Amino acid sequence: MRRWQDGIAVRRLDAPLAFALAVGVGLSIGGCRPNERELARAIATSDSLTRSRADSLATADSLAHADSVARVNESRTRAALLAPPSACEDSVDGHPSVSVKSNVVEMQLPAGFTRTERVTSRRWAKPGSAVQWSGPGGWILAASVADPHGAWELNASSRCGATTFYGAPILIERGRWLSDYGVFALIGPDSTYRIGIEAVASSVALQAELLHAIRSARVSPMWHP
Amino acid sequence: MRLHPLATLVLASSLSFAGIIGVHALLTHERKDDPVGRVMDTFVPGLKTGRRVADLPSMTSAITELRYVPNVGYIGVPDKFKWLLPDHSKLGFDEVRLLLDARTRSEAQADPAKSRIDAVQLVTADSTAPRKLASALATWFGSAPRVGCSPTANDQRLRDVQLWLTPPAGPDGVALIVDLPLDPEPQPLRPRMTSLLAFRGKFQGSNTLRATFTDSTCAQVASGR
Repeated sequence: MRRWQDGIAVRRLDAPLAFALAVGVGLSIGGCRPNERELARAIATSDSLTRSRADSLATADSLAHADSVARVNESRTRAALLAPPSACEDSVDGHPSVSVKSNVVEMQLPAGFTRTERVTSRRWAKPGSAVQWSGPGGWILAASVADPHGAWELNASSRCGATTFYGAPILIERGRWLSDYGVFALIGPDSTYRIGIEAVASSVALQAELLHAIRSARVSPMWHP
Repeated sequence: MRLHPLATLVLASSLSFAGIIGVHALLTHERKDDPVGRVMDTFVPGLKTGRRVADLPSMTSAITELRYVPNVGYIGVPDKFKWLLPDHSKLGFDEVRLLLDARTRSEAQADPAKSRIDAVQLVTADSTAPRKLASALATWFGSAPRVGCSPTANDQRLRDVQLWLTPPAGPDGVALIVDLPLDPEPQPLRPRMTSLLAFRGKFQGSNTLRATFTDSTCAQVASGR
């Protein structure tokens, strides 16, 4: 009992020292271990760079590939030569646009796009969070992401990791959606990709404009995960 | 015992010289029997980890179009020269990354005069690179690699990682990171990227690679999905 009490006494006497030691160890570990969020950003940026580089080389590579395939299969060659535009490519500049705001994102849409009451049902969208705008030849929808793996209905021909014009990480897929042209993007304020934007266009030109619009998206200050 | 003034001068000079050499070697990580240095000398002659980015012009003229990318470091275009490998094959790279430590790379604008090169990453889309580099690294290191996998967070892609450390338990090493195809069919639209990352100091998994790292093979990771 006495020993136990001594033990307590010793512990009490050592408490400030133990506290100081714990703080010291904590600080030293904190100082040595890279910040997790910083590392996540580094990993996401590094990965995005590699994918962007691959996309930038994709066209040349596909042409070279098509050239070799031509000797074997002419129809496959034609398909390869008709390489669709890259998801990294944003060639739209100076088109008329309209600013739109919602509880999810704010962005610049092509002229003629207005918010619609009716929202297309999407499996990836968190129920009740989706907002949609429609215009001549297409629509665009933004929502919080419930299931990113349920998102992909595109037959994506190109994928790109990039940043929005405001610096948020964004993963973009570009491809066909049935007989139309689609773009799907996941935006993350901190690499967690919690906002999805999907756009469908009847032409490649509008697809490019909607892709540009998606790059202009900014997470709304009113957005909650 | 009193030393002759001349002997004292010689002794002091020798000690100072040895000290300077030691500090220089420590800063620039120069070592004898150094396969990591050999890898660097082969692909970016003159470039040294531990040196400042501002010193780059004095180290090598083989890197141009250098730009700073936050969260990563400095990205440049390497000389288009194709380097000769031990098996007499040749290989070129598309991009070189001068990777910085966590504190420096988190700056929005890094100062080249204060940015020390922590590791070097070379990226290529050459489809023959994985085979050629694995063979070259096995020759330079004289050992089989440690194998791991780098699953990417957002596109379900896996990257095969082969790691050569010297001496076998570290501290320095080179990682060969190769995109694995998503499908059994080749994907002509997007090249498979290969990167070579040379680092100094103890291997610390994801922190060193700037990519998610697991000791499991990609086959194991894929079967667990």
